[in-house]
Amino acid sequence: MFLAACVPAFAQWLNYPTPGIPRLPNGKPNLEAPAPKTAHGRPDLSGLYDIDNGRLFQDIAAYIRPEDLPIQRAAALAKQREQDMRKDDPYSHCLPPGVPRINSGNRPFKILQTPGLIAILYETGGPNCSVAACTCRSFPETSGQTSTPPGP
Amino acid sequence: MKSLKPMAVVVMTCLPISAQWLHYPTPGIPRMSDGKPNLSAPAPKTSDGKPDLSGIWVAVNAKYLNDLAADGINVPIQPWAQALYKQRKENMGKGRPSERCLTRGVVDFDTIPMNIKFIQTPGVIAVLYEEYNHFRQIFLDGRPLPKPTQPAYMGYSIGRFEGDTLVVDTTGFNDIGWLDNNGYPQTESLHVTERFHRRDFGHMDLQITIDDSKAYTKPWTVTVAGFRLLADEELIENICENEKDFAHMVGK
Repeated sequence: MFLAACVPAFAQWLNYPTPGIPRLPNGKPNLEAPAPKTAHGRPDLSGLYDIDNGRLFQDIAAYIRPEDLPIQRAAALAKQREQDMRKDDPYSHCLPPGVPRINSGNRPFKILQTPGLIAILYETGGPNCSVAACTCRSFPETSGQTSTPPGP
Repeated sequence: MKSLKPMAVVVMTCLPISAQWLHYPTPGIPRMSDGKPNLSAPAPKTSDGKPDLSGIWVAVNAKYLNDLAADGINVPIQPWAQALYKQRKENMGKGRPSERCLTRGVVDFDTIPMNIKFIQTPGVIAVLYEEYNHFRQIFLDGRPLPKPTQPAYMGYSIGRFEGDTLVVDTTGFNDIGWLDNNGYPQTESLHVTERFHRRDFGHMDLQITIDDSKAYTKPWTVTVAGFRLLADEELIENICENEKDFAHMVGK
């Protein structure tokens, strides 16, 4: 019921070919091509991404054996939340998931990389689930010990 | 004064905690000898010579948020839209989408004094709105405006440079949004044209044209307050939590 209320309409906009994508002879994107680099030689993460499934959104420890999970006092709380079928999940109150959970939901997100900043635009519902509301996050791009040059 | 009451209540209750983040000097800002930002320095350019609108901005005042026609222009409004506008205004703006944590649209986001951040790249400008943590994209890669299939609050925006002015065309709006707090209505026929001009490093002018033949008899244009740059600042998290403002709205 909740998921149905939060799912925005698909195919909202023009299906416009993304510029700069390596393509196969049939015109389809070549997703096996080498990862792009920025003008500074750093990995360029820019693009619109999706997640294969939302399993970790539901359970961040889904791929960890219970005996290997280093959880202490919070274990009882986690169990209680599971028994309650996550009814107090902030997301169910139209509040945004935080990091890292927002990176495991099966809604697209866009990475916009500039020399001094990476912005991640999350399509997933946050402030209000009745529209394709989003949560924006931006943080300085860092690489090793040296600071990046300022933006253009 | 009475008509300002709902807005005042909402502003007070929505006010986020200030100084959430590190006060970090913004790189690349021209500075005076005392280290303060020189907001009168020339507007920056991108490597390909286009105006660079990047930065954190805030609308100079809320004058046009409250009344988009505050300068007394004669808005060419259709009779049905005039009746709806009158009803909304007399009801002190109660019922506007933002009171229920729904997003604003392009026009009232352009006029609300809440921080916004422009991130400009060659192909797209992302505009991050501090209010409600929303965003908008303005595509600069030459794509056309799509035929809307799902009307939206923010619509779909494409931009181009005409000299030193960024001209942004947006369509694909829904008919739920309001153009201002008084309640100028919009329909799905709305086409908004914004003309952004960064006049110097710290100031950006904005002219907005409303073209919505179902609500207005002809296009009308407003030069709004524009923006000032917020140097050495950063956006903070601002979540409109579960319609908590709604109970404070005091319409008739």
